[in-house]
Amino acid sequence: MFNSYPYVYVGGVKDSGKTKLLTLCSRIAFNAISSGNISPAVLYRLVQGIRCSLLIDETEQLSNRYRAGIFRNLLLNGYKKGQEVYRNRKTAEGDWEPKPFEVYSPKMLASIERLGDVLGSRCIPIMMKKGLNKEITNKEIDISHPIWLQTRDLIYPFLMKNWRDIRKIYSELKNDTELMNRNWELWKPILTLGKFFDQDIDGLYDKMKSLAVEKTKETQRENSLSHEIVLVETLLSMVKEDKYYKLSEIREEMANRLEYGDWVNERSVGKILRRLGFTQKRRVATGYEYFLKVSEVKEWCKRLEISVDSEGSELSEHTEEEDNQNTSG
Amino acid sequence: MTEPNLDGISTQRIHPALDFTSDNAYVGQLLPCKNEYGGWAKQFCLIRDDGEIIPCIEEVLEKNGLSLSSPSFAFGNEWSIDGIKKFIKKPKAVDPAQLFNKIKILFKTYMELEDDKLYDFLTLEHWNLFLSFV
Repeated sequence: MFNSYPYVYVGGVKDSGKTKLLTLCSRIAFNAISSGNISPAVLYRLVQGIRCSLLIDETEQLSNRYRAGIFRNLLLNGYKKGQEVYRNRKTAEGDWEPKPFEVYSPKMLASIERLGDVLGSRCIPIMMKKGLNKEITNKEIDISHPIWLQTRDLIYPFLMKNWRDIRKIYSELKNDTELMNRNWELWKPILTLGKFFDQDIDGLYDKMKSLAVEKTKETQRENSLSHEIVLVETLLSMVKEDKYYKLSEIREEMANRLEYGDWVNERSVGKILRRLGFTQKRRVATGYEYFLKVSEVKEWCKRLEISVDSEGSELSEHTEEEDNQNTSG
Repeated sequence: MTEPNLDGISTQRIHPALDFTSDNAYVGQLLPCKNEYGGWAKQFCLIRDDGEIIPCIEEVLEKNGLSLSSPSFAFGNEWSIDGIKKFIKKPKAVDPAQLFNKIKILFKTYMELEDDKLYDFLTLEHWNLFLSFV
């Protein structure tokens, strides 16, 4: 029924309750597995064998590069029904043969770090803040408390009784929101459930619709800001003197810096450049070129709080006179 | 010589952990079953939404027109034996609003979130964790 599943990304500073939220979900989610201390091979088998809800605390789990790669693969492929990854498996004869593994499963992940664009687009983000109410923030989760089993004992019969109605709502749900394409796909399961429970909890569907729009706008704002940051970092590494720079080279350098930069094209880079105020351009035989000044790149670094030292750049200070000479030529 | 027979028994392939066909929902659990010698042993079973329990033994599955899409293996009893007993005896309707609020209260008890809508979202998301395979 649900053709895709939105991951929940729990972000926020240290001690803001991210791990606690994952622990709480692990008590009531379907076959929940916390990713800690599980080898990648076992992880694939668990996702396929028990359709587990995978809870990934990235701050702890993804420090190892190889491990991080495995998780990323699972995450990038596992949000859509029917997706499989292939792994080599030793046969009884000692040969290796590729075996498909189902990777579609619900997942929640917590991290201090921002997610990359591609992974971020599969997530609904919840940003946690350090709580002020000590009674709540200090309340520990007793994982062996009977409340969790009692709750699950209510969830299963409920699921068994109501799945048909939920499936019907999902198949008939029309997009009456301003969400488009991927965002609609991402929110459709939540809105389906909102509609189902709305029959008993008045206004829930509308509440979820408004949350969906808010969250989508929030993500779009963040993405656009992060693209600006990556572009300015790119310029910081490229612009050593005031002159015209090929748009194709800026694009290439920016794409290299992004985790999945294939989507970056000259048009989008040009748009961000103009948004940042780099409007002086010319067309030559090899394409467009933008006139970039070291001082302006540095100015943007300051505004976006990008450390000039982090690039190891030795940007020279230019005088206004030098600037004028370069632009006039 | 093996002779191909494409008109053989057709079975519905389901996942042993949790699956939904056009007619039924199934949840897999390890349950105590009487064995052929009259003793008790744990056996992986499918609990169907009509309260029927189907042990995952080839002949029984075949009789029910089912086959498993993946090997079954137990993952602890997420649904308690008592809970299952109540369910198969008399599936009692659970009030949606009551259950929704019960789970929402759990989130409110342990988590401090700045927007009340997020508690509703997490509660629904929790349902999502169960229903993504419907």
